[in-house]
Amino acid sequence: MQCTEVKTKLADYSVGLLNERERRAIQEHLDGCASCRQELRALERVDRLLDAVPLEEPPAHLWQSIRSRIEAQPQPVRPSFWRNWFTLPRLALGGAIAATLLVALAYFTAPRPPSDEEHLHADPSQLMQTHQMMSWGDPLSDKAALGALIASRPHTQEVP
Amino acid sequence: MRRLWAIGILLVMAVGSAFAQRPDAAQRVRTAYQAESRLRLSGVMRTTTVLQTGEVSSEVVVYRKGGMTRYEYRAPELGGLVLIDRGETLIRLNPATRTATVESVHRSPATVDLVLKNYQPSLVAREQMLGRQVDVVTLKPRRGSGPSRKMWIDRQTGLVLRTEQYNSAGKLVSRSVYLSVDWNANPEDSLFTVPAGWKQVESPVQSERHWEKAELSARLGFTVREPGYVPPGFVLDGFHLVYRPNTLPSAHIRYVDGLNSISIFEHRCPPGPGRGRGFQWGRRMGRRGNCEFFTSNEGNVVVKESSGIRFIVVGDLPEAELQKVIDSLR
Repeated sequence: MQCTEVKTKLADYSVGLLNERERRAIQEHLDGCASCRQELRALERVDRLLDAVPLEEPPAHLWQSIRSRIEAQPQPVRPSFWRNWFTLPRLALGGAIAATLLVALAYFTAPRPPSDEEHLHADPSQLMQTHQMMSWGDPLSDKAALGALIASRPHTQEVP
Repeated sequence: MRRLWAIGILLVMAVGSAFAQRPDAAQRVRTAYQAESRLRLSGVMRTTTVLQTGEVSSEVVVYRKGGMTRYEYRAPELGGLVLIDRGETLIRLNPATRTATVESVHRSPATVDLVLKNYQPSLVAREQMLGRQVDVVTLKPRRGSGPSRKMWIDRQTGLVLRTEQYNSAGKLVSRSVYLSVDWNANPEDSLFTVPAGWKQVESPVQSERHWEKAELSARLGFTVREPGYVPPGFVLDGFHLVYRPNTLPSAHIRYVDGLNSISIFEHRCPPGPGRGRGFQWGRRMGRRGNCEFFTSNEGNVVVKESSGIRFIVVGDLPEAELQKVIDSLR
């Protein structure tokens, strides 16, 4: 299961709305994905904050007040067919299409930063480092030089 | 007639000395390999590694005792790192956080016999170094191209006083040289343990364990592919799982020939458009079919994506050989 799919289901997962199969799949993914675990922790924090807010009962006169305000509104005058045809719906439709095209254009042409998962996979220096470090156990390996490589790369620093 | 005899004798002597030299060079290599676990000393080295992006260089204080070695890196940019090689485990001491990270050392199946099978040892010179007699021995591939090694081996103890590693293009990859050696040193045992009061953690890197292919495939959720072709002389090291912080797991299949290795990494493709998107490493050499090639001083890389899996083959091999390896994955 990919991060993008997991993240769409994390909210349901956090409140126990998923079936057993989905829950297991997400649990398995979370075991190996620090980014999704972080997202889950954030969701759980929000849940806890919401739980802490006390429920407010609406005042008894609220609905009566809303209803009387609605009834006091003047009835709208129905515009003519031609006015409708040539003005609002056409304009709205055209505007909506133009806006959609603009958004789509911006989305597909703008430089897109890699997603978390893409970024994680795309770091070849870690794989190169693994390739190099595995030679530590090879005969005649230059361990002093390999050690300097360990120290020189920031992502190899210890994670307590 | 007399001249013919003289030429014949000289020829026999030359051939004889060439044959006589061969086992001697091999023996020097074996002695050097064994010396690592036998010697007790302390010394100061200078090590330099040439990377794509520049050089990493440091003075290193070294202590050896009972098959264990401690490396103390003195370059300020290396943050005072200390490595303790205890044979089965490698301890990294990070003074900034007073943390000791302990990880199991991957034991390669490569032996000195494999090195000598694939690399021709030659005694090229006898020199003086640090007031000692040293034999200068080179190891060059017996077939095709590949990395090579030049070692200055102390004749009395077998300690490699200087080593230079070259890639298959003949460029220097690393050099480590002893600047001084105290042959009578007796390093304290405490130098090879985690200092008292330091936090000890297990390494998050888990790449030393050998996996069965089926087990690894089940763990990763896709069938790990093996190459049908690896260059002559390489033997399978094993299947490994590469799992580092902030990365998703990859299969790692490793082959070794003694001085060189091939790594095949396999992981699910990241989401998003573009084959190989984000793979920026080394100098991009171009695309052949559905493969991309990268090169650097540290090795060559070929990347291919197929059926939602990304395959990355790394090794100090010519592009055509890497291509053959990646094309043979099944």
